[in-house]
Formats: sequence, C-alpha cells, structure tokens
Amino acid sequence: MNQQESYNTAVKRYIIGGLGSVFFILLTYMMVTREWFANPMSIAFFVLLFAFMQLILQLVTFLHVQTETKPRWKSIGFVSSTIMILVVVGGSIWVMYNLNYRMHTSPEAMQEYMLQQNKKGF
Amino acid sequence: MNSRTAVAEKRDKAELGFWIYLMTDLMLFAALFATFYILRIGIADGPKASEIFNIDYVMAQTLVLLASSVTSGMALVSAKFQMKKQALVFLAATIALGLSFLVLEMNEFILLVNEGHSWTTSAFLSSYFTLVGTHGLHILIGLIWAVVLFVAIMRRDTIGDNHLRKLGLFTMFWHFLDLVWIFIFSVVYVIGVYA
Repeated sequence: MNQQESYNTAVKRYIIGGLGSVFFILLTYMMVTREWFANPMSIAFFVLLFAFMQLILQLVTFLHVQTETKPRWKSIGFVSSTIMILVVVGGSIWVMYNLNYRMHTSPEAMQEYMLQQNKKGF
Repeated sequence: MNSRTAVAEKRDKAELGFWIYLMTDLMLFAALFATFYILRIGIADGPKASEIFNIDYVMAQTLVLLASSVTSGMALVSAKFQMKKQALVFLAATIALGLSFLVLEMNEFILLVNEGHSWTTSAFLSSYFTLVGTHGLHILIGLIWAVVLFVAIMRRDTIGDNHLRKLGLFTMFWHFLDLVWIFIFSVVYVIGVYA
C-alpha cells in the first residue's frame, strides 16, 4: 500500500476501525435488548443500517479502499460485485415474495398446508 | 529503487487477484444469504429462531472475531515496519482468537444437534447450517493459513518481501471474513430473532 504512511497513522486506523465497529455492534445489541423499537420493520432497518456503516468503516480502515491509486480496480470490482449481489439477493427475495402473494396464501397458511402434505407421506 | 518498484508491482498484482477472488466468494455468500432469507420462515415443526439463538452468546462470538480482525491488521503493520517479534505476537493472538471463535461456533452447532435441531429438521435450519457452516469452513482454512505463515515468518531472521506479501493477503482474507460475519450476526441472529 503506502510505505510513506508512518507506523502511528497505520496503528491509529486499526484502532479507529476496531472501536467504531464495537460501537455499532453495541448499538445493535442495545437496540434489540432494551427494546427501543416495537416495530419489526424499523428494527430490521436499523440493524441493516448499522451493518452497512460497519461495512464502509471497515472497507476504509481495514481494507484501505480509499487510499488506492488510479485506476481503482479494487473499487471497480467491489462496485460491480455489489450490483450483481443486489440483483441476486434482491431479485430472489422479490420473486419469492411475489410467488407467495400470487398463490394467495400467507406464509402461515402455506406452513399449515406443507405440514398436512408431509403427514400424508410421499 | 528498481527492485523496490518490482516488489511493489508484484504485491499490487497479487492483491488485485486476491481481491477478485474475495469478490467471487462474496457472490457465494450472497447466494447463501438470499437462500437463508427466503427459507427462514420455513420452520416446519422445528424451532423458531428466537427459541434457539442467544444474543449474548453471539455477541461474544462477534467481538472475538472483530478483535482477531484488528490483531491481524496489527500483525501486518508490525511486519511492514520489520518488528518481527511484535508481528508474531499479533499473529499468534489472531490465531488464538480465531480458534476461540471456531470453538464457540462448533459448540453452538453441537448443542443444536444434540437438542434434536439438526440441519434435517427444517428448511430454516438447513439454510442456517449451510450459511454459518460455510463461514466456519472459511475460518478454519484461514486458521491453517495463519499457522503456516506464523511458522514461515518465525524461521527467518527478517521478514522478507514474499512473507510480507502473503501476510497482506491473509489479512485481507481475515478482514473479509469478519465483514461477512457482521452480516451473519445482523441478518441471521438479530433480524432472525427480533424482527
């Protein structure tokens, strides 16, 4: 990476990254154990938000993404994989949600149906 | 000067190649995450996530792995500044913390299976064991790699360019595994139990 970077700056980066991550982990922990939110959607939203904050923090402090010199192949690779991941994960969840919706059964009803079928045997 | 740039070039190429491998590994984990997210409601007559996961236990695992990620970075920094003894101490700490993480994870798996909640119980548990187990397998491979590096560095007086480059790649791998675990912690354990 960069040889010019002094020992102290390098160590400081890891300390910042480590303490920052601990902060977000504890925030997630407190949020669910102290029950700051009752709504599951807002819990999920904040948990994912804190996870992405840690992702960015660790990419910068541990994996040194922003100190890369041009051409920024690592960043380009990361962005293109992120796009593909969004398609794979987002697409799968969307398709399966749609499937549930179009079959007009709630997950609970589907569960019940599957259990009944299971009892009949194959 | 010329050999210095040659070394830097070799290291940059190796790092880029390894980075691309990490991105493909990320795709593997993304597919497993998607599978888990879709199948997590399919609990059949098995237990729910809130019945089998303990947030305090997982918190301990998360903090142990984060600590080992930081010590692996510190080992790399020490090695860059030719502080061999300090690099070895940090690498040993990384191995010890990584091993504790793996023991905690295996202990959780064994407890689940002994309670009768194995991967054959439900779609939720199948996808859970596959996702977390794949991560655990990566950790195991990383640990073997770290031990090999430890011995290799220990046997020389100074830290050569090759060892420095390999330590850099190992550190990338380890940070990557910590990041994947952050998402397992968030999606599988926290959202799975509380949302």
